[in-house]
Amino acid sequence: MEKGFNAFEMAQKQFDQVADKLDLEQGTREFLRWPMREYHFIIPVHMDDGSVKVFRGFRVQHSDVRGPCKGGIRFHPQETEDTVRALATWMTWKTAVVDIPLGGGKGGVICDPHELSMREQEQICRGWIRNVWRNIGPVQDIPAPDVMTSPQHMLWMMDEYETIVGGKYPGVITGKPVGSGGSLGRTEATGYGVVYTVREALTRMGLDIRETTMACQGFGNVSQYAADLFIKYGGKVVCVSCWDQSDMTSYTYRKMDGIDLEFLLGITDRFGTVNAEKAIAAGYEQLPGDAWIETEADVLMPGALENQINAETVKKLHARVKIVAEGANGPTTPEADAYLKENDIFVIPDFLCNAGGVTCSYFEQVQNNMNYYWEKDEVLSKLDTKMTSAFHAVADLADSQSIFMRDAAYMIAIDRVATAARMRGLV
Amino acid sequence: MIKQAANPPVKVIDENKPEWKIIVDLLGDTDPVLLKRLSRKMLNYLFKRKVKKISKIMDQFHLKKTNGIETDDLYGENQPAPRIDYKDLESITNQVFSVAEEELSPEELSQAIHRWLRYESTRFLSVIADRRDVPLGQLREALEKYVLLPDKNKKMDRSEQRGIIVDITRRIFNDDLQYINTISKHVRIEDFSEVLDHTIGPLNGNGKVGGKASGLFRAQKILESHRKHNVVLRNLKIPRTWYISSDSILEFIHYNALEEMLAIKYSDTDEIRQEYELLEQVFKHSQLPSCVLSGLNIALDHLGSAPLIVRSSSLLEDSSGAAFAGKYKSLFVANTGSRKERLEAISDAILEVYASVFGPDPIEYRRERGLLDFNEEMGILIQEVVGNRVGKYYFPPLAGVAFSRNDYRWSPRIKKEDGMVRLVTGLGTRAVDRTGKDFPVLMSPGQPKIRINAAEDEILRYAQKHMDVINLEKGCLETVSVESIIKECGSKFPCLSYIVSIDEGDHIQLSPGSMFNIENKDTVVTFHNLLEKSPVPLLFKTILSILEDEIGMPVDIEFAYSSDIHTPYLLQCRPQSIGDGLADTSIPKNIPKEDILFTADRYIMSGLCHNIEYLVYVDGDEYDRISSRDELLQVGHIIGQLNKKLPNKKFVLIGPGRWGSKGDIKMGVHVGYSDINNTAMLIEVAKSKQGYVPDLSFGTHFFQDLVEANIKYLPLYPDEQGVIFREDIFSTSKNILRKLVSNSEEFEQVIKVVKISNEFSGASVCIVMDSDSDSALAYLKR
Repeated sequence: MEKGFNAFEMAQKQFDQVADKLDLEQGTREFLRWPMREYHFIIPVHMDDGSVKVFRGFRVQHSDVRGPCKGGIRFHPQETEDTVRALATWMTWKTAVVDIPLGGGKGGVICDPHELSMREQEQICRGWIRNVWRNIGPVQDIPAPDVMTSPQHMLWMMDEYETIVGGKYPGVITGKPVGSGGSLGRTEATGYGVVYTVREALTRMGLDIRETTMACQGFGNVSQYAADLFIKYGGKVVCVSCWDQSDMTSYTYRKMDGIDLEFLLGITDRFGTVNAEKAIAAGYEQLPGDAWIETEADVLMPGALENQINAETVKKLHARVKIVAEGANGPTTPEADAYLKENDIFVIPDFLCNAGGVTCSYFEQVQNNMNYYWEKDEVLSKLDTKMTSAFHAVADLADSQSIFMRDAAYMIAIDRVATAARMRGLV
Repeated sequence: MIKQAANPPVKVIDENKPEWKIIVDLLGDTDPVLLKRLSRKMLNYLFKRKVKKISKIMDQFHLKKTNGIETDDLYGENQPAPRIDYKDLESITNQVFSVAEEELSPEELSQAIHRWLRYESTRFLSVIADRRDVPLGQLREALEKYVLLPDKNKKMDRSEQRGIIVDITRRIFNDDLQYINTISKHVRIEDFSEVLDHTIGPLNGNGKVGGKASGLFRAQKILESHRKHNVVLRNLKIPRTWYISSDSILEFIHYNALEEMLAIKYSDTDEIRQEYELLEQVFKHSQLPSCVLSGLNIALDHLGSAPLIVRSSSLLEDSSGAAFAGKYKSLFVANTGSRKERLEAISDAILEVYASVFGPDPIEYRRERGLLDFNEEMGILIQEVVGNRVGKYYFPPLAGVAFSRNDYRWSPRIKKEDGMVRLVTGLGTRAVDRTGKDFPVLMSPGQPKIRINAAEDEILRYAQKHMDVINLEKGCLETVSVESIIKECGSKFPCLSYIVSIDEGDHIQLSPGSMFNIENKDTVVTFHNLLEKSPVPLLFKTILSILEDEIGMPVDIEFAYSSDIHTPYLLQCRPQSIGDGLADTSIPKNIPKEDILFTADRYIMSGLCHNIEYLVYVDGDEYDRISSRDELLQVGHIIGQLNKKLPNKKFVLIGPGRWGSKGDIKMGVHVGYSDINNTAMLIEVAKSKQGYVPDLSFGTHFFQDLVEANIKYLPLYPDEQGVIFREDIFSTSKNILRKLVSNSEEFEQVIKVVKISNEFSGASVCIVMDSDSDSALAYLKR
């Protein structure tokens, strides 16, 4: 056995720590430590050159005690079972923390789309469905796009499923384009979701959002919509950062009296690069890419990359920072977490903060199942309700037990799943 | 009845005499030289018919002396052959026709003589072409005369025809035997007239049209002759082209008394660099000779108002082994304004190209290759720019370069022979040059469906964002954003549905229908429909295979499309430069075993990295042992710091599995492109683990970044038989990691940084990669 890093072992270790805090009984622990079901199969594909190649596919269903499993399908050449098990487990906690009636799953195919034609990829998608169509579906397990899979792949899969089952079941899969069963509001969902939680956190702290400032890392989808809503609420966004393709480096663009989002978006290409010349001309300071982290602001919103707040950078945080809202996945390392705890900085943990995306996937499925589609406002207002109540549930627990938000979020999530399992009489 | 005058006596025609005999007699009286040529042809004709009597006549030429004594002993091969009396020669003529009369029917004889006499009507051409230094003016006149002959008079002996073709090829194109050999298979004599009719230069000069023009002409003729078997080549065109002969530059130099420039190449490079700007201005303020100016006037009439490109076409350029890629200038001219302005603009561009002969870079390039003493002359190609006017802009909707060998394979499924195309919208300059900041679409014509960028974020990131166009209002070359031009021109942008996909925000609609409303959509350049649904990949596969087969070496071409995807234009064709244009990437054979660091024999691209001073090695086993995700990430972070600290392109990164892994970072070191962008080479090691050899990424995480920045990629399979991998060097050498990166002590087992000169007394590392033999070798250069 290799001794090295194993994502599933890590997920189990993390679970064990929370289980200790929850004082979960042994049977429940065993039940939640492992995926409920795993499907492993092979997909033969007639390649463009006439040969036949066999690909390995799988689906891991970690838990469906709270509802049908939910989680992506990855196409990756070196996928390992343990990585997928870990990701399926995290999906269970993620759907539980925002309290949507879904469980956790993950799946994929060991393949590299860089080496496959579109037709071959389509064959893989259809082959994947032919293997698991009995075990997935709107009431069992709902896949979505993930690493190296796109809405196109989802549509091929949906089509194959509907062909086999003989009916229209757009709710079998989410992440579909609008017009092909996708939901409005999906683009805004993650960024807006972040700000719904920030808004609630500020309220709990007794701060008026109109008097607060936020520093964003990144200027992609998450940061753009987070900034949009934060400004709509009357707050000031003082900086964003972006990758500059022509200079091969990243920059922070800062304006302490608040960025003009419309202006910045107007000078940003679709690939997220802000036009430096125009930004500087308009009075924005162009600073190194990591300058966002030391910017004076009430809220720090890492919205793009992992491990941005680490043991080294966390010390640079401005004294004014009160909230770290984790828009990106895994932006804070455990060492930095310890520092934040010590310094009483409020953290909205990633799997709660950025759960707007998965919540919107849930809405997509709901709309599919009833074949009735909401306007964008309705989607966003329902999203607000969900995120707000999820946030308060976690914050209440953190308050009442004086524990760190990340721990509280895991405790709530795991407790919800454990309770559901118990009530069903499974454990 | 009219009586005949007494003098001169007129021969009475014997009505029973066959026609051929009448002609022979007449020629005997009036043109004995022609008669001798005819008798020679008749001799050969009979010999081919294996007429025995003719062999006897032929014997008289070699073995026998007139007295009948055997000559073998007396006249051995080192002695001059005896001369036959003139009278004997005359008698041979008579003997030949006597034998012919006996052996052939009068009709056959007559026909043969008629045919040979018709051949005589083209003889003037072979006489002219035969003259090595025939002035271009004379050759052009002779060719014009030939072209105007009625078809039946153009017929000539096959060998004579080939002789003319070879002579003219040598005269105006190239002395290279391989070149001549290829051309002569595909060209007709008339084709030369097309070129000379459009050639400008001193009428009595002896220049050629230069390398680029020669390469294009050869490719054009090869492809034309394959057209009937390949329907896909049916619409292939060459843009309207004019040539300025290579000796015009000498004429220009003498005309302006600039002779001292010719010796400038022997100056020190720094000196040349310093003086070059001034030299360029001196050229720009000089006058083109009148013969060139008057030619340009005619050319401008013929080329019309389309923008033009003035391309260098020097004698050295594009010859095999020294491609001179990008060394001399090619300049765009908008060709707008009054006649005088247009003439001035094009003259200015020509003068600038002339000046580039004396530029520091080409001279240095020649010096490196021992070509400095060659009497370099600069021919020039003036071509209409292939494209279409859209609003105020002029550009081709598709353009690029294609290589018959794919040196940058992004998947093991792609073979070298599958070729590679760098495709852009707008002028091909963005495909030819590597900006490192913008990206052409890379396509392998043999495997068009295996795309480099598979995930949507890759498609967006590596999309072409800017295009080069000619702004007709401003009269200059401009770089504009693709998006803005699409918004501005909307559906007038030609072939748009073949070029772009629609970025819907939540997904990319790769294959847009023809009805999409472009004004309201965000577009991204993918060429998806072009690669999936058009004959373009097949066309390139066909062109590249034919050219490589016929020319006998890998080639690269430039191409553009004017307004639809069915009419490709070939702009240039030359031997494909290998690696960095280095002539030799063959693996050295005599490297002592102890100096070899590693070898590789799978998926090798061509290239050479030398003077490598540092090796950075991430130990795969140690990396595997890391149990915390943070530490795994820290490895990538340290690599990023090393990338900043080590000298640019003087180090090589060697690591396990897939560099740039994002998801499961155990698969390879988690780095971004900016963490590795200074390395000379990225090496992925696929060590087998429990009998399982992991797949490598082939650099796909930032493949296009690597291509554009010319960073080499090499996969190593150390467990394969016959492969050398001196891993011990990393454990026995001093690890200087902590010197370079503070607080990195705990990673010394994982990351090893070896300074080669410290360990091997002043040595450096050289890595040679040869895609032809699919092998690579890294060795110590002491």
